[in-house]
Amino acid sequence: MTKVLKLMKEEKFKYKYSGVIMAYLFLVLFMVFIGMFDDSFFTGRNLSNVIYTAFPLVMVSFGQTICLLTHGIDISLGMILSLSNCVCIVLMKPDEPLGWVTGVAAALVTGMVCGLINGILIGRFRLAALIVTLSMSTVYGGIALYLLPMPGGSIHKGFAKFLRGKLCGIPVVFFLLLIVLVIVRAVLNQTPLGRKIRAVGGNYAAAYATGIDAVRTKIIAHMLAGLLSAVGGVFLAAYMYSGDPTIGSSYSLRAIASSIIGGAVFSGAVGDVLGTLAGVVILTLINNMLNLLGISSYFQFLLQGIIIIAALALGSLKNVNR
Amino acid sequence: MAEEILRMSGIYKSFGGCKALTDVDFACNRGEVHVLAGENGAGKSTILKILAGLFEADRGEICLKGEKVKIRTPRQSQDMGIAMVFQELTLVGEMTVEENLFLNMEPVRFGVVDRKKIRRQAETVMEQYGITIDLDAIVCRLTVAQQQMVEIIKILLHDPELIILDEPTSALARKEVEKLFQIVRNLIEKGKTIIFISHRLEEVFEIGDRVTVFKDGERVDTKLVSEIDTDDLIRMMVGRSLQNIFPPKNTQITEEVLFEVKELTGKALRQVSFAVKKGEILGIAGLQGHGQTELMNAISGLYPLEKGEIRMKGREIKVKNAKAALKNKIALVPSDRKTEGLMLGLPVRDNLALCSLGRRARMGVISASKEKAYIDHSVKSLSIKVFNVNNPVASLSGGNQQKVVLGKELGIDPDVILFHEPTRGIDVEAKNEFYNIMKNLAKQGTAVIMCSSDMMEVIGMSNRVAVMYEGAVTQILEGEDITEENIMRCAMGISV
Repeated sequence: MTKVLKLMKEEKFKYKYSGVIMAYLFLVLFMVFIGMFDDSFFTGRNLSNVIYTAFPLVMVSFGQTICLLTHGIDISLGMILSLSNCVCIVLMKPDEPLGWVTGVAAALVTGMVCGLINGILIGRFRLAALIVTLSMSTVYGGIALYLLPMPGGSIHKGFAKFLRGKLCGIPVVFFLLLIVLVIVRAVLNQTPLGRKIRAVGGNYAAAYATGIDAVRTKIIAHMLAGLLSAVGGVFLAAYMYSGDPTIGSSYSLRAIASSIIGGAVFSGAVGDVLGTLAGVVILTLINNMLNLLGISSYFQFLLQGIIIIAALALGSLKNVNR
Repeated sequence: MAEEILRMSGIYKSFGGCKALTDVDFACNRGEVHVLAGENGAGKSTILKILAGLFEADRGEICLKGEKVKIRTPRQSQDMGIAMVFQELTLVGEMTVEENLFLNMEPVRFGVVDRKKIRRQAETVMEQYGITIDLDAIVCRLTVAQQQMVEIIKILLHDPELIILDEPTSALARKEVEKLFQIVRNLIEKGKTIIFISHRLEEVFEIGDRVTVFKDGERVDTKLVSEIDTDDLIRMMVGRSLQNIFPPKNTQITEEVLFEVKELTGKALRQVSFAVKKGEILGIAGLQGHGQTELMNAISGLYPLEKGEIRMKGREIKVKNAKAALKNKIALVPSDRKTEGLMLGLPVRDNLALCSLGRRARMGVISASKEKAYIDHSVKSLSIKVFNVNNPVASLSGGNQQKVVLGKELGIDPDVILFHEPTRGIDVEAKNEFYNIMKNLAKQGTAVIMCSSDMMEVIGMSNRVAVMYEGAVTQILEGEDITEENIMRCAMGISV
């Protein structure tokens, strides 16, 4: 115990984890608060629902966090989710035993290709990330609409059943989430690539001077973001038994909000997907709560914006002391 | 027995039309501390950057350990055993020391960074050379001196033979300099060779074995530090003939004080005080980076002062921001006209009118006739060569651009006008016109303060010169005392 306390006093620990800890603190308090008003909150059924609802956003938010670490941003991630969702459905062969493979593989490749395009435009051609991804989001969304003009299509039954199912009473996607979390975190914290990503975000000139291929690093970061969004899109195809070309429209902004709440900053190099996870759960719970209270989704949209600004303001207050 | 480890011969380097190095020979012996001295822009940094692979010489040869080599990239230079620590640190602030040390060269085990190996190697180097840094510290939280240590450890991990330090001491306090020198001595003991740029005379004598002086892109001489003294060094660094582009100085200077500053103190300023009398031009001299920019900015309201008084014609004024400065009729012609003085895309007339728009506007609308009169007057009195005042100011030559900046500032009818590097990047004819304008301004009763790193300019134009060193005024030179040698002495902190 004293070892843990000693660790917590260390400069490095505080710098890297203070944002994450604050996010989780807030999350726990929030859950206790909801629990007080809603008896059914802490039931297995409700918690499972939360996990199902949150999973796609977790994927997209992880991707967004990676982009933020490179001092970049990707507003098209929601549309990449939509596009891969549609690709999955369209290319799925519901009647064959392994028919889901083409759908899933194609969706994941789509996510990576979209990320590649974004990465090249931002990294190689040095175009402003905000404008590029904003524009590309309409392109990807347009392609999604072309593939699947109306929500529909059919999904491979076994596949859907698996992703919607449970293992020892816990949703399968929860394990999937843990696996993704561990892998992404390992890549970002323990591999040379992860360090390159943060170096490029923290001090582009220094990264370049050290010989890092900053362009390649940014491209890889955006490809990973695209891939993760595609995973979210594939899950949604299973969960909703169909494809929907506009399903991802609200995801990009919410992914940014989650990352910022989780301690990431727009200026790069700072951020942890663990914190992002807390951010996603907080946002999802707020949405849930508002739905239960019968508040319109337009107001929820407004609230999201306020939350982003509040998180940013708190973040910059932290920076004043630095 | 001195063994030559490096010999550069016949090095020429130009950037555009500017000759940075002309026929430079430079040699360095193994195991010595070789200091490069000379004014800003003399060529010291350039020759070292050629050695580090950042630039390629236009002509000349480099021999390393007796063999002819070609250095085209920084990587090649590193592979040959040369390492350079720059003034601009190449560290990522948000990461720890450990993460920075092996950036882009991390030892990997099963795809994951091998932290144990990194720590072991770093600790070995630190022990070998007597450096202590906390590997887990976040770099942006370290002091500049400590960050420099991290850079040094970083290069030592490659085990270089020749280590170049570009002005390592300019940002350090005395104690930190001592620590650095101890490490330098450790490095020499282990057989390394060190080349070192310094602007502080004491350092040359404290740590140097030999010193090479550069001036105007040429090597003046190389001497054993033990064989010379301060005077010899200064004499090597300066000593040029005065070109006759300066108008004769004003001799009718009254005792009336127009502008005065007392004990100005801030982050880079230490109790700066001086007064400007009617009719005179006060020069501010010294090596770059010793507080001159902060001083100019403080008086113009761009830099926060902790303490100090500013008095205009005896009355104390507070200059909190640029708006207050303009209101108090303080004008500044900044050192970088392209980014700080002009709106390059806007027409000449808009730039000229900018600071004084309110004077020609009534109820929010600018009077076209008044503005035309003002523009015509400006162009004429400053001899601005322009085809059409509606053309963007970017189309003008450097000298004329600078005149536009001046015209803009003169629009507020200033009582004090500060010039920061007034003739940088201007051709000789325009310089001459500028000097005449400055002299006339002083004669007409505007307090003129001119800060320049061009010593000839300072000597040629100023009635008195305040020389700065490390944020304080070493001395104010007058009349016959204004010589290159005296200015250089004061610029090194030595009073005359």
